[in-house]
Amino acid sequence: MKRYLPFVIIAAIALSAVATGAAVYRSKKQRLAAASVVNVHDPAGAKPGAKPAHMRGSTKATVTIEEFADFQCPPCGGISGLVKELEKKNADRLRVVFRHYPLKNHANAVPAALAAEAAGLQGKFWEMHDLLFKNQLAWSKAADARSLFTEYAASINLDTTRFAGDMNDEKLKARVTADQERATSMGVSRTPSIFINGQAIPSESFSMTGLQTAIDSAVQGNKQASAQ
Amino acid sequence: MSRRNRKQGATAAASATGDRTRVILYSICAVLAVAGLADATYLTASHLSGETVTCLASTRCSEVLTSKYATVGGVPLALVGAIGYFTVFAAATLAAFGMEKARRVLTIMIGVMFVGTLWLLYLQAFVIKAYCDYCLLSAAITFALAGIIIITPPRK
Repeated sequence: MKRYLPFVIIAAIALSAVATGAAVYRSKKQRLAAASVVNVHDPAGAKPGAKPAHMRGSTKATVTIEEFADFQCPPCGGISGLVKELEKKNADRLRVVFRHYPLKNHANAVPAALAAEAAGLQGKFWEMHDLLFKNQLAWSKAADARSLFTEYAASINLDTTRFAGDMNDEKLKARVTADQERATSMGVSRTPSIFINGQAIPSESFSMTGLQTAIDSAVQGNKQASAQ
Repeated sequence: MSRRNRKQGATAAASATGDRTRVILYSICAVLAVAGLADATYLTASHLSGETVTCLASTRCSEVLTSKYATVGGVPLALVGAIGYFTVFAAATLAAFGMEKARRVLTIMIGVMFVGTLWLLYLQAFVIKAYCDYCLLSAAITFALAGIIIITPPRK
């Protein structure tokens, strides 16, 4: 028996590795399939846009809110708070995607978008996103907004030297441009603009009730689509 | 007991201790290889499924895992790693059971993986300029394996 024991152990580990790999693969595929339900309006990421997009929420969510915003636009800050409330209320069924759409008449909008992207490189996009909206009044008209952004970066424990360098990174500029191209391809002309599962939401519905109704009908739509 | 018998007894005892040490060290190698196999299997499954990997510590691991260096001739590098770790596991298990040829295979495999790991660390540090925690874990395992092979006493 001892003669065969090592081969039995080796075979058992081989089978376990294959079975585990297959199980992980299957579960990841299922998650992707669930996610693709919400991407029916953009199969295989055919439309432009920064990849990967800044996303938060459950990977199992069946509803995606895609928000096009400018950090310097005051209503965008308001919508951002509203979206957070909706996230709390809808927990596992909602995913939020943020897209940059810095307006030309906002001088500090592009640097702010780059600050958020640079923070993203250190894993803190959403923290910077929240800080930028929270301190919007302070930096919007500032002559040297970049130094304020660096202060915010320090307050969330980012490596500020790397952060300042990353803000000039061409790759990050390209991500912002890609989001703007996506906005154009989806007919966005103002901020904030919101899409739920690829469907444009009229600005009259930018309220807790209006957006919740849109989310509920998107959930309903998904159920009907999967029933067919 | 004659002097010669005492000497033979001491040699046999030393040999038994050496054997036991080798068995323990090869067993540790096998356990480490299973950990490496689990890491590489997870990365392979993630790569093949197309879903991005959730990073644990570093923040830019997706840059590493989606870089052009993540595949070799269309084959995911993680799969190559998984095969490597499985080979190390099999060789270490057989070596622990006293198979001499397996010991040689184990040494060669770990040597190759050690060099490969150095190359991958260089790519992460100087070319991609981002690290991936799963790759660093794999590097740590390979270094530990190399360390064990170096300290394993040769069979007399």
